Amino acid sequence: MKAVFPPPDELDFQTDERDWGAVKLLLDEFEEELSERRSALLYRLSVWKMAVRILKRAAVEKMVLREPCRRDHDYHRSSLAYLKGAGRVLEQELKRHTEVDPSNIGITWDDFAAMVEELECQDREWYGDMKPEMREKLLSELCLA
Amino acid sequence: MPEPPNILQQYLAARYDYDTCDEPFKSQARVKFEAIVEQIIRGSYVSRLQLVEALSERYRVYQRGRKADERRRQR
Repeated sequence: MKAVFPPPDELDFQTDERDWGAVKLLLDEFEEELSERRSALLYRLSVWKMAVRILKRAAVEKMVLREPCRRDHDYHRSSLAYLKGAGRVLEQELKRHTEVDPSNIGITWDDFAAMVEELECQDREWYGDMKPEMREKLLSELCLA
Repeated sequence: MPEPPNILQQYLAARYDYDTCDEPFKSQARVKFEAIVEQIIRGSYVSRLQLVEALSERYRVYQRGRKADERRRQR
């Protein structure tokens, strides 16, 4: 009987230590804190900040410096969407709690808002659905083609 | 005298800074990036995110080049 192996990109995923595991761990931690609402807003903010940092590092390794496989795209897309949404939720919560100052964990309100906005840019860059004709039309209108 | 970088090069450099700078410099990098975006889309109906999306492929090439250069220098 002929052996059936998974496609090479699946094997890459399983054997590469620098994988999405760290991002997943931090997202799980964030999720747990969120569902149990057991800790301070600043703690969640610092976990979010760390998760964004690790996601970026993983994305450079897996998506920028190498040709990403489908599984990389799946992990990247879902982590990015999750962190973007969680960032918006934190933004709302921070607005309500005037006594909570993110500068206590080394980030100003403006820097935090800029981080959330940057995730929005990344999401559009990787997963926007602009058609190539539209892209060309738009860039030529702006004299960037 | 070297020519100043064109607006596309300015955009790519500002986008890279916004992407990679440390958190305490994020809002500063965002202001710089958005000023260039405004300069590009002024007088058009194109939105900031549409421009970001339209330039995504170019940004990816630029980003890959910069990251690879940085890696080479670190070695």
